[in-house]
Amino acid sequence: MKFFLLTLTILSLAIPSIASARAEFPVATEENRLASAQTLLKGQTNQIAVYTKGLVCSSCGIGLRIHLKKLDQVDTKALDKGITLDAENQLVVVATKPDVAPDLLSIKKAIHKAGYEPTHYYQWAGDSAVLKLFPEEK
Amino acid sequence: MQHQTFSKGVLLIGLASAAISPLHADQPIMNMMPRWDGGYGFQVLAENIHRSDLKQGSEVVGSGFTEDITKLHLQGVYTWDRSIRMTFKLPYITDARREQLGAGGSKDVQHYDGLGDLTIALPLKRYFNLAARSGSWTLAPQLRVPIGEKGDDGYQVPDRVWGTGLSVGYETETYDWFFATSAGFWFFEQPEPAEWSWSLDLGWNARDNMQLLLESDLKWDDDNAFTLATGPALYWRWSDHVHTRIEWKHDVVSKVSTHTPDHGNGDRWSIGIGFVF
Repeated sequence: MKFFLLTLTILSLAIPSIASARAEFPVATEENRLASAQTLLKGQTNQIAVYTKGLVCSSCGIGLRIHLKKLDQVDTKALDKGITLDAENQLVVVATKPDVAPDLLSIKKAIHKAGYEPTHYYQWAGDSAVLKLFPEEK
Repeated sequence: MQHQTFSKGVLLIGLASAAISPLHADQPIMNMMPRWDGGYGFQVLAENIHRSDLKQGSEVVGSGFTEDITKLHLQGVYTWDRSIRMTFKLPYITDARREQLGAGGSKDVQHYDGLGDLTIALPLKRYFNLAARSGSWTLAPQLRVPIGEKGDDGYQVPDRVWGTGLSVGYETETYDWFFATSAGFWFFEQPEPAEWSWSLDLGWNARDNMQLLLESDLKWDDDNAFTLATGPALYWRWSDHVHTRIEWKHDVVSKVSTHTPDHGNGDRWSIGIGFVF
């Protein structure tokens, strides 16, 4: 038993060195992200998908759901209480209430408060999802 | 000669790793949350420690002289913003029993139960968000407050002395993997020896709501005690607000103080539930 656990310990010391020796971890490419946004947003005019740098697992994204759900504009009847996380492509999909123009700066601020970096977002534009930049903060 | 070179190599790697891999002391909630502004939570952990022998240094001086400690921990956290949070950890020893060497080699059995010492910490975090990876650096000053209860028959589990500690940690996570390492120390009032520690956790995100970990802890103190404990842990997220974790650790190396006999060769179980908001 001790030999087994000692071996596991040595392995646990060795694996990080091997992992850190790799040039970089696999990155979701912009093409993959756009493809995922096309699928997630297809025909949805009241939703946006935000590229959220650092979102790598759904458990880490709890704060995103907590902060975004606090926004009045979020339609909690859509998606999973208004939010869907696609951690593989680092996308946060936010559903906003019908006939309410999304307050992009509030969404950006909520994501930042949750501990992540909102970079840009995708929105459905008639026949496909397009990449858009957040407006400048005043 | 070759063996010596290998040993030196391992030692150098170990020291180098320790130098660049600072500590992350276990912190609520489940070492993970909350990283969001205004987040708070608490967790309750049940812990059982079984030490199977009475030792002095590396020598067993009382084979089968056991010690069993069962504790309940109440722990809480508040995150002002993602760079600063405050935590507390309060143990309650529900039952502790140990067998000591009596006259003529007989077993003297001692018991203890009562409140343990309070630990307050102020973890300062610096998060980073990369294209495929997220993580943080942590610097956590800590304070031990001696509110533990005194033992009746010379046996008490809490140290009942003031202590100050500092830990430094690094953790990072990808879609599939989690890695954390930390190093720290505690300085206590006399006569408690200073303690040093290093931990290393490796995790695999097996499911959207599940993480499997292999955790190792090294601990040594100024009384020449040294422990290397390792074992698996399972984290499970029931919902955004409810989280559980179960872990087991076995003392792979267990060397107690060379000055006085103490119990060693331990196994530790812990199961906990945490709530975060």
